[in-house]
Amino acid sequence: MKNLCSALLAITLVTLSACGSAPPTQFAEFAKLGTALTDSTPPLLDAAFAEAVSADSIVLSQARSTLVSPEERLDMLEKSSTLLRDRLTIYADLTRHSRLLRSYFVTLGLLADTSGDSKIGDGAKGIVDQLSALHPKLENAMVGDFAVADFVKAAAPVAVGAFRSVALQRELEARADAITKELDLQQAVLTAIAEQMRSDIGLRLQKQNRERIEMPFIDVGDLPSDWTERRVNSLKTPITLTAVEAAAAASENLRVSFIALSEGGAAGGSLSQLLQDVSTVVSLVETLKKSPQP
Amino acid sequence: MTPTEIRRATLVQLRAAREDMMSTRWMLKLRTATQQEKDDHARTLVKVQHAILELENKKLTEIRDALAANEEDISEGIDELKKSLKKIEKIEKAIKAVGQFLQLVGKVAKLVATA
Repeated sequence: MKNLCSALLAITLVTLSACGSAPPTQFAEFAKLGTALTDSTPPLLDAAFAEAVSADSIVLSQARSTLVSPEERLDMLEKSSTLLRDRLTIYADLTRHSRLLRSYFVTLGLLADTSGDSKIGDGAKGIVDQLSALHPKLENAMVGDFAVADFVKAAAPVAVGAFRSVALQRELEARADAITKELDLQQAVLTAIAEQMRSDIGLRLQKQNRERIEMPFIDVGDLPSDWTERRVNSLKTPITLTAVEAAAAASENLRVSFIALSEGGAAGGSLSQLLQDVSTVVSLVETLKKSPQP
Repeated sequence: MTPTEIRRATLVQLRAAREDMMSTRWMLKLRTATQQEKDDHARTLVKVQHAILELENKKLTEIRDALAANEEDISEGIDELKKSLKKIEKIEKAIKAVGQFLQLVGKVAKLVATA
């Protein structure tokens, strides 16, 4: 009985030390959303690169239409290609980095996942059952008003959950600054890409509008039969831009949620907003994968 | 103004210049321009485009380098989290092993009692 009391005391101490930190379930939710957001980054980088090449090609084609010197044309093309190759290298590094961050979120999610802890409780109860077969008195042993068998079954998952909380808290204390910095930088990447895409897509749409809407309108003759439909489509925001802007907003919320979690406060509000943002990003990216643009 | 702010403002101006130089109004003006004017326009447009690409690359490179500098911390975090996960796995295994051992002891005890 003395050993049992010591074990109960240990469980209580671990549980108490876990108090004051955010519950593992919130970390699990945060990690799940972080994983989903990092999964969305590579397709967005692919889309951003496609838009950058498209914008560059539009500019080069325009220059080509007036410049006649073959050397000059070749110099322009070569310089553009070199700069775009450099861009591709940067994007490849960013993709590789987002995989590393994904691994972090996945591991964090596994540690915060309490769904399998009830099995540990069942296992602990199994031990008491075995012990009671050896020593029948144990089956009816009581701690206060609680039967030992039931208590052990309930206490084991709580103790493991508390261990998870302590481990998560320790991780936060060790790496809160690094992760906050990381999430800041992720947001900076997505914001920079959103700005780039806004400009590149704008250029593509400008050309498209000129050829399909403005020139037929300016020039003499009948307007194409689908001219109004073309205008309707031209006024809609392209899905690539919506996706990257949603991702930039989600990354800001990811940072806010992390700060709330690391400060031990309830991150429920920011997590539910994050869930909405990430769901939007994921569905937009899925649509993007099905119909790549431009 | 910090160098980052200057670069950001320059990028905004360059993107606006590119948009203007590719606008329909500009294209209409080019229709009546001389060949020299058209050539100058083309050269300037491509210079603006290359400057945009260079500045965007510079900005992304800075962020990429900062992220790379953070990689050691992230990897360390993954390792520490994995260690904690292993501890939980050990607890699970220990509980299972103790249960199995006690089951065996129970069987032996029964055999001894019936012998």
